[in-house]
Amino acid sequence: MLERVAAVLLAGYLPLAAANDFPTQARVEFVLSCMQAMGGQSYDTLYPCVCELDRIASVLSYAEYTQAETLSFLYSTPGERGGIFRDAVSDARKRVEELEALRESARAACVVKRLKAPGSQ
Amino acid sequence: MRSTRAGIFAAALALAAAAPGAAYANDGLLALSKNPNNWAMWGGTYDGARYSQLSQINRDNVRRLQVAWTFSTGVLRGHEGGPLVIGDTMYVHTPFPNKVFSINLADQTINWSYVPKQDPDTIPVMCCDTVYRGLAYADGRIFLQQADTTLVALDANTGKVLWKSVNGDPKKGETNTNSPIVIKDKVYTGISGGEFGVRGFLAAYNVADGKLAWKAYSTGPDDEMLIDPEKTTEMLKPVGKDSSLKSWKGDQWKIGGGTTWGWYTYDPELNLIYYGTGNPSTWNPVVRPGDNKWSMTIFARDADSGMAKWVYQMTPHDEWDYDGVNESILADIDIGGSKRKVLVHFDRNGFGYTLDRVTGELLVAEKYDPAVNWATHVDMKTGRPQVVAQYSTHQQGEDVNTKNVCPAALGSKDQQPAAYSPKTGLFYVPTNHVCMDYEPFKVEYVAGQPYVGATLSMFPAGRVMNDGTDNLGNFIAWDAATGKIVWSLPEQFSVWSGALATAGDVVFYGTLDGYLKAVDAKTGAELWKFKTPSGIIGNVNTWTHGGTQYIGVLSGIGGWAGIGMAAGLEGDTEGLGAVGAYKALSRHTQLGGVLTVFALPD
Repeated sequence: MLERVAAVLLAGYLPLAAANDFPTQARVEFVLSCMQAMGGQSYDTLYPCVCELDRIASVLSYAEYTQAETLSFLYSTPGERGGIFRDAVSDARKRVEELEALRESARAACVVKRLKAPGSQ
Repeated sequence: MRSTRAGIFAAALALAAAAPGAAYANDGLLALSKNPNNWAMWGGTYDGARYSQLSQINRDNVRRLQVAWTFSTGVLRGHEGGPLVIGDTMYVHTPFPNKVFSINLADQTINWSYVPKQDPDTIPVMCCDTVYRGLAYADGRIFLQQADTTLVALDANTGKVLWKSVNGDPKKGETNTNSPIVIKDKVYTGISGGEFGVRGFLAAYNVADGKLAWKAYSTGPDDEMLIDPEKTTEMLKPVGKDSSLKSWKGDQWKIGGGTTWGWYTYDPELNLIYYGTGNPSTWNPVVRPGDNKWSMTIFARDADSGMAKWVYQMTPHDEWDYDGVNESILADIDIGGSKRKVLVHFDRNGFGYTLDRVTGELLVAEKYDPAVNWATHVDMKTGRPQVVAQYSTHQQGEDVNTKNVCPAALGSKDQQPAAYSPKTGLFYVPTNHVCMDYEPFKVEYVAGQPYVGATLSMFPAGRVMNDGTDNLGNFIAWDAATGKIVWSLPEQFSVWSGALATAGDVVFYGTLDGYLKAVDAKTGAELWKFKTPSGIIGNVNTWTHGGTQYIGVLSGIGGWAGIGMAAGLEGDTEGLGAVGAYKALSRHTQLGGVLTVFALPD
């Protein structure tokens, strides 16, 4: 059992006690925009999005998540203004990439299979 | 015609303006701005204090603020400035393509919208995102300064175009991002494009017909700058003949920069308009010896004639891109036991200046970020900063990387306007806490092409100060009489939102991670915060409607992702409340930046 916990920890999936402090507004916002990105509101999009959020919120505190998310926005700002963040936050790229990796691993772990219409691929 | 307060005001003003020789636009706008139920111009009032007499929302109850309504603008990119409120009507602007919305505050329906057609080729010549800082109102008219330099007067009741004037040429790199201001019968605007070798100016157009009344350049011959060599002063002395021409090599003044993209303020008693000029072109100081006058300068001009009363150059021969365009806030404060009419200016160069706004006398010049190191101090006799050789990108030379200069090119503070509370006597300043390495290189001028000539890299000021901090901004309270920081709140990111101070002893500002924050005006203690849909680089404004005080701010920063969920939720809500001709105008169908409006619960 301990071994399994360690393995999961390394994989970055296990809830850490310190986290899980996303406020209601942030959770709703995340899940709704996630569902939108997946094609709209249904249980097939609700469950994977809730799952994804729970996994992210178990690894990052809301403050850490907000900072990384803000950096990813600022990264795409053109000119001198975006430059300040591309430059000035020494680990900006790393934090943006880590957030993206966390999202991807959470997404991969949260797949809900969808029924296909006959003949579709 | 709808019988709204705004409508009646507008009608009264229109009648007044029709009287021959009358200068009622000023009186009308002055009265509107003095009524705290309105937010009639960018700074709330002509002094640019961004202070409201409203106190329904106060230090004790601000923690109960909640969202009252929201409005999505349908435009991506950075949303600077803030909405105007005149009576029952709000006017909201957007970044390029510079849409205008008139919103009925009684029910949040859209009265009209105006969407200018602009050449998208304007976008690539805008140096720093396609921002726009807001509208001006006067005389029943809304004044829109488009990015492509077209200045437009719209009928405030209908949105119909009354006139258009062309203020510059984007093909030469001339664009506009500033908010115009109206004084008496003229509307004033400037120009952007210092990074393209544009020669800056302030222009005054007639409110009535849009004809150019005068244009005052920042550089060049005295007559083109509307400078009187004998009467225009700097540091209380006449500037003398050819003050600008003598400070440039050859005819470099023609592509000298000194653009005017900041905020303008006005003193009705002195009849002086105040504004700052930007960096000299290029960013490579080695190729443009001299003081490069009057770039980096505060101008005080007669609002009628445009003649310069006095000038003060903060950064002679700029070597760091410390544009001098930041706002000049007008206040009457005690200095050394006597009440002085002053102007307070937080320059990009990191010094907070207090000048006598009547004479231009320099009273205080102190660093408002302890990290500032490019100059040791400002010599109070000459007004000149004492530059430290180690941080002089000119003395270090071309193709040399000058390291650890504080502040970075964006300055200790950029355009985001500060606020002043006469109740506390303090100025509230959103700041950057960032330093840079700066390497100038040679560049040839080509019209319409970037004329920068320097490469930069930036980092948190804590690295230079060696104090273990990594915050990129602070929100500070400043005593302009003594030039001292009273309190300073570290912010993880630079603070790029305009502040608001109120008689409720609350100060508001926004952050790049999207929080609107309320702090105690005396102590800086955080009282409340709310996460808006995106990062905030807009200004916080306040007004009342139906006896309720509202606080509003635009959120939205550059790039697709920066608009947060406003785009993501769009599809599902399409059709809600969308009827007839107003379908395209429904707030439910607008993507992009979001205006979030707050009030106390009933």
